[in-house]
Amino acid sequence: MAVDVLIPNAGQTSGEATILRWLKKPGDSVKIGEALLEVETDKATMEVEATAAGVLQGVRYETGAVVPVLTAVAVIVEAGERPKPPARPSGFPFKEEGEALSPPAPIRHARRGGGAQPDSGDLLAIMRAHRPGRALASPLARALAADTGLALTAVTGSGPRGRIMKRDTQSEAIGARPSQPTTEPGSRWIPFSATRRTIAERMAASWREAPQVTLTTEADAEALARLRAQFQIDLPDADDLSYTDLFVKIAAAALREQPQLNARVEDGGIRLFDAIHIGLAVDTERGLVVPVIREADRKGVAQIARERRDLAERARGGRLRPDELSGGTFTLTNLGAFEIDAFTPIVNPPEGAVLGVGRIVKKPVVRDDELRPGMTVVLSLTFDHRLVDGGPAARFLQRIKTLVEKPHLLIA
Amino acid sequence: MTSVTPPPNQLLQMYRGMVRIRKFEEKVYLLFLEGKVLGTIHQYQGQEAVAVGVCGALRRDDCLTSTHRPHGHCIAKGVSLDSMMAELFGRATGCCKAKGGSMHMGDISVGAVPAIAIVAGGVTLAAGMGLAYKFQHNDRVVACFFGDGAVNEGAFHEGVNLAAIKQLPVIFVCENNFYAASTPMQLTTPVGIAERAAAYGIPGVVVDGNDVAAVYQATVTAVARARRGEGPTLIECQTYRTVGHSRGDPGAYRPKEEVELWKQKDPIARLRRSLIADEAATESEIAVIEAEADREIETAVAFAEASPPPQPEDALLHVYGEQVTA
Amino acid sequence: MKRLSIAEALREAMREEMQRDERVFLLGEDIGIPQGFGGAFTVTLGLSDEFGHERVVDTPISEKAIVGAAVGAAMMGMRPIADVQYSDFLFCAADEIVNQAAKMTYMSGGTVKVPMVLRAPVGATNRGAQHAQSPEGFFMHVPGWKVAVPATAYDAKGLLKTAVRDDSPVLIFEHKRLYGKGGRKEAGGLDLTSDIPDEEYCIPFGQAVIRREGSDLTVVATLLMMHRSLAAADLLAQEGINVEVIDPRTLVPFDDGTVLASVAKTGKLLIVEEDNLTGGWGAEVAARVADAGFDLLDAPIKRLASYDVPMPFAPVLENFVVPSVERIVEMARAIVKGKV
Repeated sequence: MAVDVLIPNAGQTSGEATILRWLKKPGDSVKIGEALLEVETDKATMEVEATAAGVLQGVRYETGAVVPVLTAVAVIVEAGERPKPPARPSGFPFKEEGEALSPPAPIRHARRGGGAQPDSGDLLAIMRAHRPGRALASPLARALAADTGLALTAVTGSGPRGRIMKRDTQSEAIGARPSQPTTEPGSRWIPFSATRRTIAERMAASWREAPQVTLTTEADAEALARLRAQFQIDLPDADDLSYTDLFVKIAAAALREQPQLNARVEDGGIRLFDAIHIGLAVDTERGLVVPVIREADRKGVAQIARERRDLAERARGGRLRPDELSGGTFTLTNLGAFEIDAFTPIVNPPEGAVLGVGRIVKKPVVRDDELRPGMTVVLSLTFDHRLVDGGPAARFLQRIKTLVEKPHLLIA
Repeated sequence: MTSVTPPPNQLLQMYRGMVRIRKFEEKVYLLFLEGKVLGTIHQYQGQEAVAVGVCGALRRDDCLTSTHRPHGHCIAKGVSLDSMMAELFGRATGCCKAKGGSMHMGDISVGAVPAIAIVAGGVTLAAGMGLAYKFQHNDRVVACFFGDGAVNEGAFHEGVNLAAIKQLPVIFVCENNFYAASTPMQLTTPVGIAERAAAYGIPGVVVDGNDVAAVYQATVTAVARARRGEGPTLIECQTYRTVGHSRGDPGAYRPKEEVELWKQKDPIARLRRSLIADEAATESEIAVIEAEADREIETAVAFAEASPPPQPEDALLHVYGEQVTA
Repeated sequence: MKRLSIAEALREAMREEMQRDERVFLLGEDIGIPQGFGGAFTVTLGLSDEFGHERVVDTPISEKAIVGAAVGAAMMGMRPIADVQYSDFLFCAADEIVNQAAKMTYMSGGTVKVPMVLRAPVGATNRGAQHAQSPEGFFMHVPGWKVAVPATAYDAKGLLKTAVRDDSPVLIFEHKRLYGKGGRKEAGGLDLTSDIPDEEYCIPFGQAVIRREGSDLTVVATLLMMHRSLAAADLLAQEGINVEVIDPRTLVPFDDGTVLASVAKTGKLLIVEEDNLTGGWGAEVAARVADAGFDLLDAPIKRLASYDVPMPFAPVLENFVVPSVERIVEMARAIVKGKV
């Protein structure tokens, strides 16, 4: 059984050692503990001892060579045993132990292209220098990941050199797809679609990563309702101006005033964004899709309405571009159409907060100490408690409520 | 052409040479049946006078090329029996380090080029070797052995033709045992072998391949011609293998009477008879020779059995010339 | 410094080696005949005047004898440079090449060496199927032979000198269309010359050369195809596609390292060869890169080769079969644009 002679890891900071001299030569018998060679590290000079008894063979590095720790510099074989020859590129003559190759003496080298075979670590280094950010993944893994909307950057590869393989794209952490779903009488099993899988993974990730708190408040919606009616009369092409459009504008304004919610937790810190891009949750046949209205604070409601209409239509038709589905800094979700009042929306990762809007409903309200018919809307704000505390979040929600009840403040 | 009869002590040496070959081959046959000799073997029993007669006329620094039936040539040229037996056993101490086997036996240090198993494959090589000797201005010669089947190969024609036109120092020795594997000559060869020499303008002679002195004499003449720079000669030695083409061949394609007839002409028995008749040797001297040969072969077997097999990774060695240690 | 064509460079290499080492001699057909051709492509012209007909040996039309005699002479210490007039004729001596030359060192247990050189011209030149083959793949496959494929005069001289001094049998494949001036005029031939230094030089085997640097695509090509790849690269550069062209210079030993390092950079490999696609040398290189370079690839490895047909005669047919500059450009573009 051949035993490698390794440069020990003695805590050198540089991670390498220089061979000063060999104390034994190939063919010498060695005993356990016997010193084989002297190396110099950034800490000290030390001797490397034999960890097995036998015959020293296969010395790979000479005096003066600088090698990383844990490199095998030679091998100890049992007396009479021969070490396995190292793998050679085919076409090269096999170098016998102790025998020097005598190639024809070249007097001058022509322009060299590189010569000797680099090892796989060197090749990956070259690749990363020219193609940074490229994940190491087999073609099959890439295809499977693309199919399911899985980001390779989120996957740890279990293959050689960290290569992502098919089995890694199907690990439990990501959401295992059982290859043989159990049959249960009276039920049927359907696999996740690509969209469903993406949503499942994102919701689970959001839940896992961000401690979320939801605050609710009820706002007087009369002023908002009147504003909408006015817009529908006075703006051309605004017959379908929706409450959502107004809420986008309101949320954007509030975020402009309180930018700590136009942010997200990242790398142990908080990333604050200059621009305000509001994602709108759109329900489609395939599932939830969130197109983004960019720079919502700088757009008028009419433009917001036009964009919202276009994005929603293309969302349902599955014709959104990737850049329209990304880059949001805050999300708005409106379930009022389904007669929902309060709910606990999930933060759309990696954002910091999401505003849920309920139905605008006629209700008895107390105004000036009198019971009257009125209109209200429940606002639900879920926030990432790593990002902000309850106080600031509450103040933010309160401001939204104020803007809902007094929309004229939007042009103040 | 002067007739050169070898003197008695030389004949006795030739007798010894033939006995060594015969006993080696008989032993190898038994070992093959026991499974100790591996692969296949093409044996030389019956043809010993050709190898011994030709090699008797060569210097140590002359070379020979051989065929898939090389044991006799190698022994006659001086390859050690130990190394040959070890090669047959597939051991690392074999003459070809277990890389060659029976059909590639040889040892270039004694002038036996490792045998070429492609029929007539050695003929062009021998011409090239002769060309080298011309360039090197030495008077070495090459004895090129091949069988009756080889004369119908294209390589035979090209090699003999080149040697003839360039007057290369080659002795082309055809061991005509009348059968190429199972195919008799009359089915394949419209013109006799020695007669073909005329097509190349070189001398062609037929000799009784079972008369070691006759083979020797013809070779001496051809060697002298070659050393003088006059070119090649084709010697057809008519002989017979008393065993099958290879092991496992019962030789049913040859008439029994024919086989019996040739056994009567066995070269070793013949020489023994004439040595005794001419009082060139006594029975007891013959017996000593035979006993010595037996011992030598036993030693070779013991050597082979005690030798280690090669390391499996040795299969990767010796592909390229840089690894040639010689 | 002087400018020489490939034919002239080969001739100079042989002359220098014959001057340097008396064991070196030439053999082949029509190579030394007075007032003759100097071989099929004039490479040996004048050498018999200088070295005599003993050292420049004219043979009968006997490829088996040419190769076999080279093996025999090499075994006895000479350093022959044998040639056959067309690589197609190597198959007349297939036994001598595969069974004798390649196997002798091995079968002898490393006691006999065969330091011979065998030169053969390759490439399609409107002469029809039996004078047109590029059979490098066959011989890359035989353990024991080294194979050189010089595409420039500088490389031809340096590689031939190394071949003569090498102790193994070496096949040198020259391209009929690259011999250049001082060689035989070929329709569609390239007039290549290189600066040849006055000082002696040898080029070691197993060292490729990057003829052109680029980061979009790695192209590995030999002989005439290498020159066509360079021409294609110039055209592609105008479209903003930068191709790296690697000339292996020897197929055995092959410089895997340079090719892999290039693929690490580009992620894409195109092999351009004149031999037939199936089992060509490109298939071997593709397999190696698919193995050692698995993690580096962004696109399947593509090979452009002559279609799997014997070479036809008429120019329109031959030009269809052998990869053209246009075909190289198209394939390279498709690879870089992710269309394959």
